[in-house]
Amino acid sequence: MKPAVPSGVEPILKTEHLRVVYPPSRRGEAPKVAVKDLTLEVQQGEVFGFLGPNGAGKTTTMNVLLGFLTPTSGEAYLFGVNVRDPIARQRIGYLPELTYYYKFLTAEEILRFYARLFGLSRLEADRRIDQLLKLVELEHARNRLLKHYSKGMQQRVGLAQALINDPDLLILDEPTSGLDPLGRMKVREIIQRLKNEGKTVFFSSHELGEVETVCDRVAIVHRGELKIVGRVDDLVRSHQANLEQVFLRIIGYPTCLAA
Amino acid sequence: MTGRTTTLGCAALLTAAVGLAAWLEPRSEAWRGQRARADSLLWTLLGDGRRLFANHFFVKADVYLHSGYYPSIFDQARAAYEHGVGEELSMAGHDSPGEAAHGSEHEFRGAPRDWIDRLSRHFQVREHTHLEGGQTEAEILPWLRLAAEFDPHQELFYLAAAYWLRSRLGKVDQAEAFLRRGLRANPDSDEILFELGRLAWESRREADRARHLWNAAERAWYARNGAVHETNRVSLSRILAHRAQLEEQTGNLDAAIQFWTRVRELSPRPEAIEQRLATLRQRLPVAH
Amino acid sequence: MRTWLALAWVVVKELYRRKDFYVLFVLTALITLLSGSVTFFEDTRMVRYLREVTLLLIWVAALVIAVVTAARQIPAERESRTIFPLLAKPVTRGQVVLGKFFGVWLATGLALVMFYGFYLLVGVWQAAPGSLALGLQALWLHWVMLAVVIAMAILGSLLFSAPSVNSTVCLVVVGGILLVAGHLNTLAAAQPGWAGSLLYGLYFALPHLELFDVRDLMIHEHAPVAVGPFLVATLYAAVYAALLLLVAWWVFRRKALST
Repeated sequence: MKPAVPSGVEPILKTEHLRVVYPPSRRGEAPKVAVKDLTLEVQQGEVFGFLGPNGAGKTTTMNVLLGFLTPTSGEAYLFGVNVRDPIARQRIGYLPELTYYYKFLTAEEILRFYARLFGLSRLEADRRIDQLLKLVELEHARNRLLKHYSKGMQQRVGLAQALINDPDLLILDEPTSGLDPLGRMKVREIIQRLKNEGKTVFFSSHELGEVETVCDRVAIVHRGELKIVGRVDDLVRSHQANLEQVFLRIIGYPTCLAA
Repeated sequence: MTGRTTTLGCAALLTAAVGLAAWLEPRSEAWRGQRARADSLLWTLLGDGRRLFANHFFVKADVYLHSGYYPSIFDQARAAYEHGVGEELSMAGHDSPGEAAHGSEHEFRGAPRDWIDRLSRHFQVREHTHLEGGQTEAEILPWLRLAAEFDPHQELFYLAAAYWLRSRLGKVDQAEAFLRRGLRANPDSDEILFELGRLAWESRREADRARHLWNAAERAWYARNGAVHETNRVSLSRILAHRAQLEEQTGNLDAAIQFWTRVRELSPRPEAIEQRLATLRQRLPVAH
Repeated sequence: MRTWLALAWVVVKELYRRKDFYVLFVLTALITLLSGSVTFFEDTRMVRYLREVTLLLIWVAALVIAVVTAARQIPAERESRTIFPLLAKPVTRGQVVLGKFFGVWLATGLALVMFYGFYLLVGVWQAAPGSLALGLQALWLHWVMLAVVIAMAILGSLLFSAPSVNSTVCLVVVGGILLVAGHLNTLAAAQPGWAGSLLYGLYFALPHLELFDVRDLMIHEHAPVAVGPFLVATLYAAVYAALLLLVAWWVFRRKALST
């Protein structure tokens, strides 16, 4: 059963006072607050950048959104459905930073497996698999076991599996990490295409130059707290600096700003 | 470190290792004991542990004889606890009082204690049967063979196998070969020599050979036991009794009387032997 | 249902693409054929010991396959990070546990069919195939017993840190149960006071896997098990497997996963 189509006003992705506290790993240590009171909304059709330095709480937030973690308090919703309900993930695609898939399966078998998890019919699955393998340029290797794939090929399989269900929301964790310039261009093209189709993209990245190019809005988190959220061009204009400099200033690193 | 230095270093280490091994080898026999002299792979690998396997395989033969109907060590321990020591030894056999065959609740397991116990009986062998007829007894032989392989110094394994081979399966040659194998491993065994003598006489009717073997058995008995005691007289008595019977059956009455006289001295019922002696004396020719 | 079936399919594919199963099968076949070619006292009529050797090898091999495969499932997914793209789909953790269980159980069942088929061939070769009805019963009982073992191993994989530890513990526990569990009531009766009560408690709590071992009946050509106890045993195994899987699900749903 698919959740109701959003009205356009209801956010595709929403967190409400999200808080995640990790218990101490050793006696005498204080619990670690990874995310503090994060309230965030992403609207349909946006390309949203989720930025922050290492340890800011980006991965933890994503893990909550994807159901890998239960928040200590607060709620998170996808398409208006609480993330604890697996149906919330019916219309999302997820590309993890490190792409590992079953090495004993072929690309076609992996895509068919994921298609089954989404409940796609055989016909629809065949159509999507052909389409995606062509998109990621893996048609020639569709029947080869993944253990014989190069790293780049495995990443392309990852992208294909993230798109298998024609998702309305794509969650990408460092999508261009480890990719060569051609690979990064491919990812940018795909994000742009999805945006043109009215899909929503939510991704974290350290490549601020790319974020500035593709994103409509960004949020910057630091030490578990949401520091700022807004449209990229508004931030750049108001700070009269590029996104990287804005980012550094927000997280408290002094920069030379043009007067 | 250059290649040449590495090579020289390796050569030096190898030389030292070989020298150390050569120096240690004769000294190692002192702490390895019998295992150092063992020529059997099983002995070398398992040491005295092989006897456990051998005993297990011997019990396995008994299990097979009863088609799987056999008390476990827990059942035997329970019987010993409930009825006293010694009861456990007769549990699988015919001597256990109150034992009934064919699925009765009063077999060695006793009445089921709970529903799990009751249910489990359906998945176990419940009939007390023996392998009999149609050469089915042969099924126990692999285990006896294995038992003897693991512990060649247990005479009982050879004797049991020889009995089944000779008496039940009609394989006299194989029985003899196995007994001789046992004799090679146990050259001083009066029991094996006795059994070979029985085979020679009862299966092959070779009287001289049987005499020779029983003489050897008697000598072996005395070499092992020294003097006759209350506890060891049965095996000697058996050798002498069979010898006496052989002499009787071959018409050597004098010799038969001699041997029966010796048996009388050892027998717990000398009056029965005396009757036999009287009969034999009557058969002697008048000149005596 | 399609979700856990899809998951099960992946597990089956993994098992028959890995070499372990074939190695075990070939070893079993080799040892059996070697044992069968040995004659004792120039007599070729001995078949029971060969049945015993073959069935022992089948039991050992099947246990190893079941435990090692089950113990590896969820930890391997976590270690190789394939758990993340999986749980990012509309899949619950319960479905993952169930899917892994059915996958390993089905795969082990296929392996058992091969092994018992080989056993039948050996019987035909020795001109003593034995009772087909009892053989089929033995196969089924063995398979449902392995359901309990697999569920145990899956639970263990969520409790122990390493698959090797889990496998060792499972094999030791299963071995102990097969050898001793049926006699715990006897031991308990001989113990005074609390020790006896504890043993009796253990006796009722443990799954009695020895119920499913009908090798003695097969070896010594006894009659098949009656239908009533056969069905009760099947139900008994189903209850235990379900219980263990329930606990596994409860443990897994509380586990935090972090990318």
